[in-house]
Amino acid sequence: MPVLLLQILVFGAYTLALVFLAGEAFNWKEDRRLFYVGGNRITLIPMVGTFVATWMSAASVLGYTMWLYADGYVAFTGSVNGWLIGLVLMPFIVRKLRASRALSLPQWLGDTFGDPRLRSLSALALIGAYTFYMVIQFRAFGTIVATLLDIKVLVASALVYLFVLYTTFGGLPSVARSDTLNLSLIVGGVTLAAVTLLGKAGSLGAVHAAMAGRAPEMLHPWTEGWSPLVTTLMMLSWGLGVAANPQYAIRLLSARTTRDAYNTLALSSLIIGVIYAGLTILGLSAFVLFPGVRAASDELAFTRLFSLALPPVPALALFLAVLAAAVSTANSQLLLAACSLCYDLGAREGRNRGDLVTEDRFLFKNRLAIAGIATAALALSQFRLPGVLLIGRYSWTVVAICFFLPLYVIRSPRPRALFVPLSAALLLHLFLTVFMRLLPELALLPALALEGVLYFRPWRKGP
Amino acid sequence: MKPARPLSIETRIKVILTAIAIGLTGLTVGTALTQGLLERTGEARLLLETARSAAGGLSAAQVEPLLERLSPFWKEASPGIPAETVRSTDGKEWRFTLDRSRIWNALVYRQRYVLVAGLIGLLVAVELAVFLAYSLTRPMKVLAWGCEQMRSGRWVRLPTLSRTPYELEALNEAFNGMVEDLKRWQDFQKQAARVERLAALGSVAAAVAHEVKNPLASMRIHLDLLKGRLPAGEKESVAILGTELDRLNQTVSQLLSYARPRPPLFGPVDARELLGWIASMTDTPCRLAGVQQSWAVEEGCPPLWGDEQQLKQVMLNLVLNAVGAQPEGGRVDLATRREGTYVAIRVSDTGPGIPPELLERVFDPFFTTRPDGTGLGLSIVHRIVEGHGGRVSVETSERGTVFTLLLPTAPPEKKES
Repeated sequence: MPVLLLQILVFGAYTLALVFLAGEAFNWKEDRRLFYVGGNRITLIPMVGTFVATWMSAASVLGYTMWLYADGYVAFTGSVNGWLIGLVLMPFIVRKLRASRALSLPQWLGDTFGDPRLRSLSALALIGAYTFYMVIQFRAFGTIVATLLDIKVLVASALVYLFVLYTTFGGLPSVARSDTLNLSLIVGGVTLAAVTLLGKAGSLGAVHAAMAGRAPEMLHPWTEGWSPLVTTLMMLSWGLGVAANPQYAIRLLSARTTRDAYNTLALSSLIIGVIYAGLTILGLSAFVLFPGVRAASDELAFTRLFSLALPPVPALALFLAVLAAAVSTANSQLLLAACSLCYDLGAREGRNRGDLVTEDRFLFKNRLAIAGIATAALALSQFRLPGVLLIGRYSWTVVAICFFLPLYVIRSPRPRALFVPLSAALLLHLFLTVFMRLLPELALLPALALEGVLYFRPWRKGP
Repeated sequence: MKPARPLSIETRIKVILTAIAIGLTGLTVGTALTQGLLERTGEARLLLETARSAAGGLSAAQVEPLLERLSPFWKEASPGIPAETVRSTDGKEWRFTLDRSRIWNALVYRQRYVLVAGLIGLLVAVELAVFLAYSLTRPMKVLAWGCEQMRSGRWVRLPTLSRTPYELEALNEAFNGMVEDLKRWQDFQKQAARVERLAALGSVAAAVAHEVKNPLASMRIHLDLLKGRLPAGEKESVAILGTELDRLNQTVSQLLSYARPRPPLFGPVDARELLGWIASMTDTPCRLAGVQQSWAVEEGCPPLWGDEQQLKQVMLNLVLNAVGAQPEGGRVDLATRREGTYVAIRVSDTGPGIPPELLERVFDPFFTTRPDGTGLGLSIVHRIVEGHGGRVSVETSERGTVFTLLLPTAPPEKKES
C-alpha cells in the first residue's frame, strides 16, 4: 500500500476513534461545573490520561527531541529537569486547591484574596498565554503533516484545529476521554519509534560511546554557551511555570477524591518518565545514526529526520504521537482560555449558576468562545512567530508570575494585597524581555522576587 | 444485567453523517483512483504497443532509448513470471510487467488533496452533527426540565428558544398552554374550595353571633344600670368593661353582616359623592395618623350601579385599612377611572406593602396582621363587591399597596342589551 495512503488512512482511523470515544459534545444534564471540572468526579484512569496527555505537548515531544538532537543532555537539564521539578512540587497544593469550590484558577485567586481585579488580570494573562501556546500545537502538527503529504500547512493545521474543536466542545469530560486515547497513542508511538531506532543504533551504551567519540560536549549537562547558572535558572523557571500551571491545577481540582489526585500525580510521574526516556533515546540515537539533518524549523527538521531514520510504520506511529500530543494539550488550553473569557471575564450573570436555560445559554457562549479562540490560534499559526520553545517560555513564565506565589508561597492571604505586586511583576517581566532582551525564564525570577517583596513588604513592622 | 443505555440523538446523527462523509469520500476517491488506474493502464499498454511495433523494425541499440520511455509504468520482469515482451530485429528480447505500485503511488499523490479534504469533510460532518443534535435536543431538554419542575410543584413557563424548528416550538407552546390551563384549573379549584370553606364558616359564624348578640345586649343594659349605683372609684373599671362590650358587639355585628349580608338595594351611586363622603368621614383618623389624603374623579365618570350604604362601607373599610397600614404617616389616594361598562376605583397607600406570602389570604375572614384588627374588614369588602357583580384586586410592593375595585355602571339587564 502506498505510504501516503497508509498515512491518510491512519489519520482517518484516529478521527473515527476520537469521534466515537470522546463521547457526546452536549451532555444531557450539563452545567458549568461538569463542563469546566467534570463535576469534580473524574476517576483515576481518565485523570491520569488527561494529566499526562496534557503534560506531553507537541513542544515537549518535538522541541525536546530536536534540542537533544542538536545539543545533547543540556536539553534535559534545561527543560525536562525543570518540568519534573514542577511535578514534584504539585502534591503540596492538592489540599489547598481541593478545599475550594472554584471552577477556575483565576476564580480561586480572586476568591482567596477577595479581589475581583486579580481574577480578571490572571484570566487575561491565561487567555494570552494559552492562545499563543496553542499556536505551537497547530504549527507543529501542521508542518509535520504538510511535509508528509506535501500539502499546504494551512490545510494540515485545519485538521488539528478540527480535532481540537471537536474534543473541546464537550468540556472536560470529553477532553478527559479523548486524552486517554491520546495518551495511549503517545506512549505507543514514542515507544515503538524509540525501540526501532535503538535497535538500529545497537544500545544506549553504543549511542553514548558514539557520542563520546563524535561530540563529547553533548554528554555534559550544560554547554560552554550556557553557564551552569543560566541552565539552572532556566530549569528553575520551567519548574515554577509548570508547578503553577492552571491546566494541571484544574485537573487536581477535578479528581473525584483527594486520594485520586495524589495517585494521579504518582502514576503520571511514572508514565511521563517512560515517555521522556523514549524521547531521549530517539533524540540521541537519531544524532548518532543521522547527524546533520537541518531545516528551517524544528518541526520540519523533526519530520525530515524521522522520515529518514525510521521505517514507515514506526515513523507514522511517532507522527501520530505528535498529533495526539498537540490535540491533547491544545484542547485543555482551549477549554481554560474559554473559561477565562466567559466565566472569569464574562458578564456578571455568567459568574453564578442560573437555571437550566441560562446555563444552557452560558455554555453555548463558551462553545462559541472555544471556536473563536481556536480560530484565532489557527490564524496566528500561519504567521512567522518565534520558535516553539520560545513561545512556550513566554507562556509559562507569565503563568508562573500569576499563580506561583499564591499557590506555593503565601500561606495567609491578605485581602486585596496581591493585585499591585502581581501587576508590577508582569510589567517588570515585559520590560525585561522586550526592552532588555532577557530570556523570559531569566526575567521570571526578578519578576517573582519583586512580586514577593511588594506583597510581604519586609520593611513593615508586624502584621 | 443492566440493560445497555440507548444511543443518544447526537450519536445517531453522528453515525449517519459520518457514514455519509466516509461513503462520499470513498466513492469520490475510489472513482478517481479507479478511473486513474484504468487510464494509466490503458496509456501504459498503448505505450508498450507503440514501442513493440516500433522495435520490430529496429536494432537492439536503437530500441534501448525507446524503452526508457516505458519506465513510469513498466518495470523489467523477473525470470519465470508472465510478462509482456518486446523484440528487436536482431532478436534481442526485453520482458516487462506493469509497475502497479508506482502507478498507485502516483495516483494517490495526485489525489492527496481530495483525501485530506475527505478527512476534513468527515470532521466537519461530525461537528455539524453535533450542532444539529444540539439544536434538536435543546428544546427537548428544556421540556424535560419543565416537566420535572411541574412534578416538584413549581409552575414554570418554558422560554422561547431562538432558532428552534417550528415543530419543536409548537411542542414548547403546547406545554406552556397545558401549564396555563392546569394553573387556571388549580385556581378555580382553590376558589371553589375557598367559597365552600367560607360558606361553612359563615353558617357557623352567623349561628354563634346570633347566640352571642342577645346576651351582649342584656349585659350592656345591666352595666348601664349598675354604673349609677357604684362608688366613684369603681366607675373606671365599669367604663373599661363597657368599652370592651362595645368592641365585642361591633365584632359580632361585623361577623353577622359578613355571614348574612342584607340584600343590596341597587341604584345609581355618584362616584364624586361617594368619594367626597369618604374623604370627610376619614379626615380625622387621617390627620391623627399624619396621613395625607387626596381624591380625584375622572371627568365624565358615570354613576355606579350599587347599594350606596354597602359601597360606603367598602370604601370606609379600605381607607381605614390604608391609614392603619401607615402608623408613621404617608398618603392615601382615591381615584376613579372608567373601564368599559365598569368604573375602577383605586385606593392606594404608601405603606410598607403586604408580604407576598400573605397576599393570597388578605380576603380570608379573621385573617389580620394587626393586633387590634378583627380580620373581617377586607372579607366584607370582597363579599360586597362580588355581590355587586364586581371584582376586587390588590397589588403590593415595598412602596405601597393598591386596592382596585371594578364596579358595574349599569344593572345586569342593561349591560346585556
